[in-house]
Amino acid sequence: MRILLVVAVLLAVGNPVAGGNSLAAQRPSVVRLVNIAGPLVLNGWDRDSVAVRGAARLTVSGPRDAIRVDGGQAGNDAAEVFVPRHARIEVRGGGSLDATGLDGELEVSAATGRVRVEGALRRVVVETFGGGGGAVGNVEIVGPHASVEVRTPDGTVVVRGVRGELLVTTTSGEILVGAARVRRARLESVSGAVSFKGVVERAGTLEAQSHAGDVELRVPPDVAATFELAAPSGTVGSEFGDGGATRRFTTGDGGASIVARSFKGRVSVVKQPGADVDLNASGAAGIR
Amino acid sequence: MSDEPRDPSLDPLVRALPTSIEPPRDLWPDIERRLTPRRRGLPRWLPLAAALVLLLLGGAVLRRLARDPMPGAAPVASVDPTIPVDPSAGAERALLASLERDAGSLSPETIATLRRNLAIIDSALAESRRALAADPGNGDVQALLRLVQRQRTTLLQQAARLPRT
Repeated sequence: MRILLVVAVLLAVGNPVAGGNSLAAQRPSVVRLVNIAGPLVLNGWDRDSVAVRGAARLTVSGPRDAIRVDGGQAGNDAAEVFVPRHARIEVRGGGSLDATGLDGELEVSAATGRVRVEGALRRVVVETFGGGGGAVGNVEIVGPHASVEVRTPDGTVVVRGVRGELLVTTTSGEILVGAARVRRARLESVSGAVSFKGVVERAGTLEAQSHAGDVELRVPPDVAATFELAAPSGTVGSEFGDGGATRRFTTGDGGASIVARSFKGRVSVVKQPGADVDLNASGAAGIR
Repeated sequence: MSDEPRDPSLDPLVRALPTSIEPPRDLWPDIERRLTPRRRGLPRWLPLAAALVLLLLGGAVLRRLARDPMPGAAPVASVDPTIPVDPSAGAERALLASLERDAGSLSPETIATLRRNLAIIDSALAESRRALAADPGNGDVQALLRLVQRQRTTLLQQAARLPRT
């Protein structure tokens, strides 16, 4: 039986809270979760406290403004952790992660399973690497986050609804970006396909590149941008004009800078009305 | 020898002397006992201590073998001499050396992911290099080459940040 234990503990600086399934009555600005071996569900809530629910035995400790939740690398039980939604959350290591309801910062490093983040965070950074079980390398970031960075060697990266800055870099993974409105975006894959559907703000930049994969951009028909499309050993196609090996052209009065390159794949630009509108909020299917 | 004349009266006395004399008691056994080093019995704990030392040494060797790749084992990655040198080459070499050193403490899946993706990157680098050799002034190929080089560094940095077991 899963029981939520609420044990209010006023912590002295550096004084650990013994045992798992505890709540630290704190006002933390940073919550660090380490060594969580099993699946982790992270929920943002309006309280200034941290709570743990689930079968996993976690230790909550830390100074007054930085709580540490430690899994001790033992077991593979699922854990559900509640954290202040405005806090900065750091997750290091572990398996799969599902985070919702956050609007502060989230930094995930060395994750070896699937990562899904939904909310409206100021900043999201996700680094995954193969090495564990489950759907290794799949990352899904959903919501009007202001800044998103994803680095992964493989797997599929889906980013939907981002507002602001976006960096996705992968070696063999596929990148799917939908319903985006970006000021600055860089999407890079070595062998995977890159797909972007969205709006590049005026004076904004978008750079989408793949060595071997296709690069497809879906932008509004009235986009004002300078385009630079190239596929030295591939093909280029654009609904904004004729194709060719390399194409440079401007639409409207310019403003944004859009670059798409693929060494040996196909580069295409498609007119997409409502490109930044999320028509389908149920996953990657809504992007294409 | 003296040249003085011999006294004939001494001859019978000399002839009467015994040809050998037995000592009053046998001293040799006592002397032999003093010459022979003392032989003490081994302490009972000595074999146990020796076994313990051997066990510890064996454990240390096994740990070392598990952590470090064998001399003949395949490296995590190699630096392809045909790939053009980029500004991050020195940093990459250091990262690779670090990963080789820690290969035993990374999971097999992690090593496999690293090798697989480095192979993809190195293949792309070789392809870009050939294209650049044919068309050295091609800015797009240069940009794509930089992308792949950047990805190689990023991948190695990511692997270097992974927790060790």
